Amino acid sequence: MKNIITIFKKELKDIMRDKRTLTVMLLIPLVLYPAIFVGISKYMSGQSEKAQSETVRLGIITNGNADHFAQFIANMPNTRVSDVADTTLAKEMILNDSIDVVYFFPAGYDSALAKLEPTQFNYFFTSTNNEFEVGIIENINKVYKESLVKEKLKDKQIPETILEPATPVSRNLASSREQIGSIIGGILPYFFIIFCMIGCMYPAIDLAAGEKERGSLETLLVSSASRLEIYVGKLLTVTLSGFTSAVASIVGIIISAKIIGSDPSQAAGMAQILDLLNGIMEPGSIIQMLLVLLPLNIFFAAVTLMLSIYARTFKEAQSMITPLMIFIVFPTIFGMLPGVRLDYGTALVPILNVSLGTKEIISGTAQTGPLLLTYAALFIYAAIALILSVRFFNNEKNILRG
Amino acid sequence: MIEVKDISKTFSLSKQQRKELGKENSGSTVQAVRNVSFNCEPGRVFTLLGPNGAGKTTTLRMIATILKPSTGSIVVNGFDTVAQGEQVRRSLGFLTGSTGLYDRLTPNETIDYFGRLNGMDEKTIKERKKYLFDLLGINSFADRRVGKFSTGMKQKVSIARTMIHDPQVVVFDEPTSGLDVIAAKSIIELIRQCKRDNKTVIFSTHIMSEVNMLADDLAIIHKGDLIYNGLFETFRSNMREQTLEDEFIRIAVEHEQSIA
Repeated sequence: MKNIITIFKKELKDIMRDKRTLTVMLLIPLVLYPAIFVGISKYMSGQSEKAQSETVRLGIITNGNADHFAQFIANMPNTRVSDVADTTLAKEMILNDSIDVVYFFPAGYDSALAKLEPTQFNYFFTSTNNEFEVGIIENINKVYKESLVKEKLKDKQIPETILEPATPVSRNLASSREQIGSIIGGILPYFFIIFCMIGCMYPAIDLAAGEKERGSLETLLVSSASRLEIYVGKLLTVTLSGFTSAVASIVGIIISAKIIGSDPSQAAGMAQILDLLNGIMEPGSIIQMLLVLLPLNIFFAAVTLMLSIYARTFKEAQSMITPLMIFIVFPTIFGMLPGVRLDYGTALVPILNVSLGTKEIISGTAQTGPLLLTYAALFIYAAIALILSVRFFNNEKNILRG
Repeated sequence: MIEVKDISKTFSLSKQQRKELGKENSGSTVQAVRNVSFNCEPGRVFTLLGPNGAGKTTTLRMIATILKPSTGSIVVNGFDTVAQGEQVRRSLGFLTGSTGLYDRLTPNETIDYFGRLNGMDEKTIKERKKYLFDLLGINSFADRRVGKFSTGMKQKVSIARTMIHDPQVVVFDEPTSGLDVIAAKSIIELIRQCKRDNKTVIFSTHIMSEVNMLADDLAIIHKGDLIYNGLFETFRSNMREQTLEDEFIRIAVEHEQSIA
């Protein structure tokens, strides 16, 4: 035990002095991620403000009628209206970007409307209009159509309620945590599963393949420490690194939410998410999450150490471990898809069970049976990976492969 | 004292290794060391001479418990290397040409680490470390990280790490390979000092001048077979060729013809 602690303390000191490990383990989740999230939030907020102030330059060709539209459009916000002589000029103006859209009403449009005969109006635009302008145009069309219908109903003395005789009113009985959790609950496990793996990856490569390449592993094997002690010391270090990285990613997300929430324009939207994140910080949720994180970390640490000890060099270990990310990202993303739930089947699929389990823990909707099966499956997979990894480490063929 | 009794070491070959060996070896295994026996006595330098790939490192790794012999046994200071590996390692120091240090640790931290791993208490580590640092001139860079050291500085730290627990048996595996003249000289001096301190010393080399300088007992290993084992003085007096190099080549060629 004394040797394990000695090795663990030394390995920890060693990786804490490695800039690359520190960057991956702490700097990216705690600084870079919040910076990205806050940056995206600021950008979206700016875009939203831009959308509100966006004005569409709108032209009308009335052909002596369409007074109703002219009156209607004059009261629409975000528009600047002008008359256009004919369609040839309209097309030219749109193509040289001196106007955004031109509405063209044929002769007899008003009389057709009055007789309730089918009619149409055209509008010219280019598909290169930005999305804010397109949104405004679509809104004009929708509101204009509604206003025509309402007017006609009024003329015929038919109540507007005929359009919607009964209004469906939904009452969502899910708690706020369940509602928000089902939306963003899948994102949190994505981050900490990925960071868990990345946090294990670099120390595992450095402490096994790296040591082998530098020749220091051989001298360590000649010390009085047994191979098992050496292995456990390294495994504890890699596990702690992965765990720290995963926790840092969650802290990073909370920091992001707090920063975004402190912005008055974003506060309303972020309030529920902050409530949800605070909910995760309850002791019950923390214990449940740790029960998922611990075996997941041991599993990742054992697998990465196993591959790393087999590799001849640091580079070879990197090329062997990096493709593993695909096997981690795919089930993690699959767990974010709607309709995929934690049940007795998915609870047995590694990584997917972590993704779904965590999502349901966050939402507060986890069912005891599948969740317990998830814990059991994770501990069994971690134990299998551990046994294989120890055997691998004890095999002189692997440890001296070079 | 090291007693090596009839040891052999067989490695299984991967597909890639078999492909690389081509016609030389069509089997799935290769025997790196074959029925090797010798004894190393305290206060003497036992030299294992052989070309690259002869089986020197495999033999030394078996003595140091890194590898297990496929057959035969090795006893170091009364402890069997397979059954009592930990006891063997406690009394053994191992030094190679590759310094094998941790770039992000200082010499102080490195030596403390290996002292603790070898079961020493803090007071003894401190005393022994002071002695070695004074002797090797490490004090001026004892608290700087190893990563930026010259090869010579690294080799000094490597020697201190090997000797921190004052091992009775010291294994040197081509300790001067890749070192400059000054660093190599410090290793030669260390081997001489170990002999004066009545330690059991085994060192492997393919450099004849080092054999001339240091050997008391000589074993020549070639293609996994021990082809000479005896006093170096006897070997030298019975030489048929003028130089050690020529004599070594003659014996190696004879052996090659005998196994062909």
